[in-house]
Amino acid sequence: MPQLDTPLSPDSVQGMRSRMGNLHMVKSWLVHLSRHNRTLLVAGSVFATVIVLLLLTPWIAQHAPSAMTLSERFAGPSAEHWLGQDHLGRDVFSRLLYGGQFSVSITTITLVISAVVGTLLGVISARAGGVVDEFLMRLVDLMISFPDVLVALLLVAILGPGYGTLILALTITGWTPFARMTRGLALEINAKDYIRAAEILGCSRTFIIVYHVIPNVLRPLATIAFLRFGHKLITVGSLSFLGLGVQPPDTDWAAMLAEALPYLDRAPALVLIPGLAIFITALSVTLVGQGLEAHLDAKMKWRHESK
Amino acid sequence: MPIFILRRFAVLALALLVVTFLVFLIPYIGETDPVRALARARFGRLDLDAATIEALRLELGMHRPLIVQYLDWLRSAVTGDFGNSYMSREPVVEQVWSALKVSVVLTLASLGFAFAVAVPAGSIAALRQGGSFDMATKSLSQAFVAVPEYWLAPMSILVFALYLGWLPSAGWRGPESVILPALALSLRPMGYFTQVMRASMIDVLNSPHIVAAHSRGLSVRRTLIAHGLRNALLPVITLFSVWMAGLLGGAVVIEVIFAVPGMGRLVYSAIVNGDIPVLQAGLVAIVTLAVVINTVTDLAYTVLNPVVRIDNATA
Amino acid sequence: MNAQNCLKAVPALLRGVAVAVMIGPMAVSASAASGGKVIFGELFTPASGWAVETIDAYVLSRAGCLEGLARMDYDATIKPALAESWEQLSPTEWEFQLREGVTFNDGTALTPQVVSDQLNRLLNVATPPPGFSPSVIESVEPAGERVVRIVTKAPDVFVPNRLASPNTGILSPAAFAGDRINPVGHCTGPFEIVREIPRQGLELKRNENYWGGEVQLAEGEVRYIPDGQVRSMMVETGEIHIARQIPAAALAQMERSQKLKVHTVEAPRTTSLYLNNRRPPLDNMKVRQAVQSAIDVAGIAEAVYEGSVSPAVGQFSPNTPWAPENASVIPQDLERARQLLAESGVPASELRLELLAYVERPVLADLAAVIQFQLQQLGMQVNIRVSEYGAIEPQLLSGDFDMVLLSRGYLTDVADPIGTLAEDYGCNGSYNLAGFCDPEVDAQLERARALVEPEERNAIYRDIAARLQEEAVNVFLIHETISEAVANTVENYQVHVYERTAFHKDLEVNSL
Repeated sequence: MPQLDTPLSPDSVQGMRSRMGNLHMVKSWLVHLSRHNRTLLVAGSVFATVIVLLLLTPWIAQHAPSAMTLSERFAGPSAEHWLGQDHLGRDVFSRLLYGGQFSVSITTITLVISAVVGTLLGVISARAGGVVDEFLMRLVDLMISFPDVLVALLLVAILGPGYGTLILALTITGWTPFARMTRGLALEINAKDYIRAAEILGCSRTFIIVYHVIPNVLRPLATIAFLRFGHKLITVGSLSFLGLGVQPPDTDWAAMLAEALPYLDRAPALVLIPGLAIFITALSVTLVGQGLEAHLDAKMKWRHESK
Repeated sequence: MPIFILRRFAVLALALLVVTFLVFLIPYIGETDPVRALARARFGRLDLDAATIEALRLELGMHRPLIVQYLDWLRSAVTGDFGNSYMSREPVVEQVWSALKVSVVLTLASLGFAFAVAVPAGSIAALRQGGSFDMATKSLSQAFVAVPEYWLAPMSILVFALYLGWLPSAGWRGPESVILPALALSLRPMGYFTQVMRASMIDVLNSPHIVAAHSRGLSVRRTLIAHGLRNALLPVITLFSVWMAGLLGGAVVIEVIFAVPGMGRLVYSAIVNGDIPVLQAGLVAIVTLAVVINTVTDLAYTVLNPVVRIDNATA
Repeated sequence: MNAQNCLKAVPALLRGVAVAVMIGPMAVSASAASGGKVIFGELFTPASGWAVETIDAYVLSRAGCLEGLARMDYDATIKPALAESWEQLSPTEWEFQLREGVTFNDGTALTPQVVSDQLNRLLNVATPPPGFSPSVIESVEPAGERVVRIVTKAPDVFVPNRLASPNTGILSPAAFAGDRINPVGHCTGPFEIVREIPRQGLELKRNENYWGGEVQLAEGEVRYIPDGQVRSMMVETGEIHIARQIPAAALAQMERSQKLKVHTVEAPRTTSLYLNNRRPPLDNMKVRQAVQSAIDVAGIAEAVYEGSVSPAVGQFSPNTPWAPENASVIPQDLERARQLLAESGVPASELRLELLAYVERPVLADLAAVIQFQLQQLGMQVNIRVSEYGAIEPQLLSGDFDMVLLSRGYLTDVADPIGTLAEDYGCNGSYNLAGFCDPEVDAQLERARALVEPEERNAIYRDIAARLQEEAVNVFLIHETISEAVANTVENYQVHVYERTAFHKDLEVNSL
């Protein structure tokens, strides 16, 4: 599915850049954030909790995700099984943790790679100009509206389902907003006087752009990444839902949801729990992204807890 | 303007060449023998004798060198003949056309609904910033964005088809069968549209000429309709077009759950069955539409907002 | 030999016991042609352009449109259809007497020429159906006013079975007139296709001139609904009347519904864990037997299949004449399994196995998880790989695998297990995944081929089945069933385990 977030305009980045100078500023900015933006704080804590839980999975999960007791199918919550047991008598809580590792890690890795690739292509596009720029930007246009589920389907058909396939597929469709944003920023810097000055001093223009772009681009990059996270998480899930994402014996939230759907009337919790896990994670991370964005662009008061 | 359009179509042609060539390689890169996969799909059994497979390979011309097959396909495709499906041996153009019609209806219904809700909701929220309506709109639109459609779809079938019995649970006949899949599909775009609509409306309200008009004594409502709405709609229209292009082929999950015979399912089953001609034609349609929609949006942009020069819009 | 005698020559598969859980009596309505419309939820979307040699033909058969010279009844006996009788003149020669006065929907008469043209066409397509291919059939020709003569290459007692397959169904010559096959208005069955809605369904109306007598329903519809969950739900909401193949997971919910009944019948199909007998450590019989003892087939039947299937006693269901007399389920016994492993002398470090399964049958993924866990309890390391069948097939056929889960029908071409046995366990079998090869078994199969008396053949099959189970050639897990949900308003519907004939002339629907 397509691009969803509002693209960041270069001038919003500029506004931010002037405010963001050094580490000290970052710290006071964080303090400021937590004081003035409760949504961001709450969402951030929820998302952090999810991440911590997933990181600590091997120590928290009391059961192996594949350990089953066929005679205890659909058993409700107990001291032994906090969230009950699924249709094969497996521990839902443990599977939720292990399943979350799959979707969340794929999404994270995808976004990191997309950000790196997008930034590089963005700088190249801005620096090279001409045909290269035109080509890359047309590619961005095309990829933005090309359904990412289809790209993933095609790649699964070629490479077979798997962790690497999913990351590759989602990266192919995921780098575009990063490239667009970086390009805008790079073009803007390109036009600055100090670039010319630096050139006169014998520095390579590309080096200068990279040197100036990278520090300035980190926060907008993070913002885009957070905004895209929820959408990518849902996309990974839709592939697992179709049976093309996670492969048994591994699981993820959407796969848990899909296999529980037939038992909806007997054990609705089995559908609700993974559904909620996706919803809460996607929502909290999106709110974090919007909180960051609001501070990026003072004009967009929309995401502020203004007043 | 003509140069702008020409350039767009040059890009389209290039993109199509690349995409179709890659697609052509698909069955040959994977572990699956494409002919065996086709034979299994046709006969519905796992054990197939070698003679059958070879006969089918010969019949489909899949014994020829890859590049010959591709050039052959390309030559006919240029004249509009996309060949016959390997599975059904029927012209793929008809299959793609009928699937496309379904997808267009589904996409327009869901995005249209999303748009119809988002524009007033976002505008009102912008006019009453900080009020309870604004808060409610904001919370809901944020929540909508995080609801996976593969959770929403089965739930909506359960409620509206099974418990209430108001709507058919699946299939594609009559307007009433459009409602559930379109609803399930509309929630996330609705969330995004609303957010963007509100943000851009706030921008417009704060812009100098609106403020000026207001100070001239025009009512807020009239000012808004006369000047504001048109400008505020631009970002939403862009987003709409991006979603439009994406959903035409990308609503696979919804089409599978609701048994909708649209593009997503057509392409999905073509991939599963290794039906290359169908896959090719399907992707050609999807890529072309993406570029066309993109171009039309950029043109519409310049019409709605003459300040934007085409050169800027393409940048 | 006339038709009646021939019936005896066909194994009475699943007779009597076939209908395992037929719920509810079949109410008989006295009314004459009652009208009404039945909507049938089909899981398979035809995609081969109605080529008769493909599985599309089964959809036409279920729709009550396509008929052949013979037909297979619910109990797998072969009954006359477009041919009213047949006779084996010599071991390789058969004559079929066509029924009088049969016309296609378009008015064309059914003649020996039409039949022989079409069967010859079938023999000449690039990919003829395995049950009726040039390797079996020598010639088909008209032989008199109502007679079609069929000559086989080798002596063959199964020719009527072959002609009972939907793949040998007969359409009006006009169906082949265009560049595509068009079944609309070109059938002989109780229902005529009025309209095809591509990838969505078929609209049917009753054939007023049906040769078999008055057709009760006025209209029918076949709807393609690939998702089992959605099919189940639609029959519950009343949008469709019959849902084919309800997934096991949905059964409990269906059975509580007041509006419908679930019909479950046993299918001639066993889901098994195929073991590669050629490759260590599974070349060791003790290891295979240990695997066999470690798996809880009764638990699997209960949990994974919701109790809708019975645990396997071997290759063939105990309800068939081919299961050994004393065949029984091998209970899970980890003690015994450990002991067998110890006896095998294979060190634990070598017990790393890959388990393959394919996605086309979603239940296999669950099954793989269960088996992985149960073998782990035995100290075996099992890695699961689930992918499309096409992706694992090369490995299967080249013998490059350890274990694979397969659901396999044992009566594919003719209503006799000989084909499957020869393919799966013959030294030269084309689908011999286990790699089992014993000249003695080959000789037994060869002998069975020539036996006309079914009971004599069956004795041989029982023998082989017993041996497969004893040596744990493969681990047979469950005997499959087909469950269909049928609205209470529908009468005279019966599940056909061979997946044909859903719409028949006596099908009725009561309006509420």
